[in-house]
Amino acid sequence: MKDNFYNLKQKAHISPDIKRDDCQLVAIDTNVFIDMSHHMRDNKKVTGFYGKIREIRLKAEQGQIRFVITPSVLSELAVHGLSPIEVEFIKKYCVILEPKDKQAFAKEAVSLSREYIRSGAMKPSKTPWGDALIMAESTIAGLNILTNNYKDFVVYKDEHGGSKRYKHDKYDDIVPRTNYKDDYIPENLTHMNENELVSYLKLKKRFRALDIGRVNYGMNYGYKNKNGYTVIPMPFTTTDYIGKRSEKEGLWRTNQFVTNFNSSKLDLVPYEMGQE
Amino acid sequence: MEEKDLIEQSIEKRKAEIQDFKQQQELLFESMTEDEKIEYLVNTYTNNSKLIKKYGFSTISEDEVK
Repeated sequence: MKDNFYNLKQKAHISPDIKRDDCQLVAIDTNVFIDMSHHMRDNKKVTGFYGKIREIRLKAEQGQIRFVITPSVLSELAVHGLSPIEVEFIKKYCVILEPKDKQAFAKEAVSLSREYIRSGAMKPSKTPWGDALIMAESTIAGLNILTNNYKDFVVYKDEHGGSKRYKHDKYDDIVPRTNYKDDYIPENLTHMNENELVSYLKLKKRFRALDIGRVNYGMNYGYKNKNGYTVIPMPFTTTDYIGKRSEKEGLWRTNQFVTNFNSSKLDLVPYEMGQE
Repeated sequence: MEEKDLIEQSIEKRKAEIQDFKQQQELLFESMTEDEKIEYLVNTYTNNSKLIKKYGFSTISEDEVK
């Protein structure tokens, strides 16, 4: 894994002095990609939503974040051709997720997408296949998604297998994630037999890509922690309880590149209405 | 028109283009069987590989991410 990481850094032109833990891979959806790639053409101070876009992109420029373009996102972007600005952005700050085994990856992506759509709780209307595919591809790779359209994505499976959307007043419950044990192990864990536990962990794994950092925010869309900071939720780490347990069972795919990632590293400032 | 407005205009146009494609793709997917969806995605991945090669993009596989 270490070799892979350094190869990746070389390929992605990340400075070799950047420590592994400082580099986070995060998938982005198409709209975030477009905003991110087109909104940094000058050095003028930008505030509000685009200020956030700029902040996150600056983290990429500093080598702290590397954006992952999933196959579906790339195909959406390429359908009318990539602009020179977008090509440059990809070359500098992104890596493309290229399935090793295309057939197997496609099969799993379709299966997961169907599951996301069937969950039926992402929003009142039906979840589009395109969005479901982006989630599925990210999930297979063990990545979080950065989106500005969380309403299409956020689904949370509770311990009973039911799904619900997070309410605004629940955000503090999910970000920042500092205690995965409380988040992801149900109270009745001790009553689960091995098969139930395996099913539970599989379910959680499948919905991991739904931990989403939002870059769209504002009075009605606040995605903030208790200190009022907009944050990108932390992915699972190799050191949390579930990670250890599931690794042992060979079920869990931990993301080595984001181990020990701390959302405070992003150091994002609170958004105030009227900054636009 | 200010540069900022021009940029936003071009961004909205780009997003609209992609949204059109997504809607067409949605209809297509709705009419497909599971096997056809898989085949469609495999073709998509193959086309992506050509694009990656053309532009020399950096890549990472699902195994490398984990």
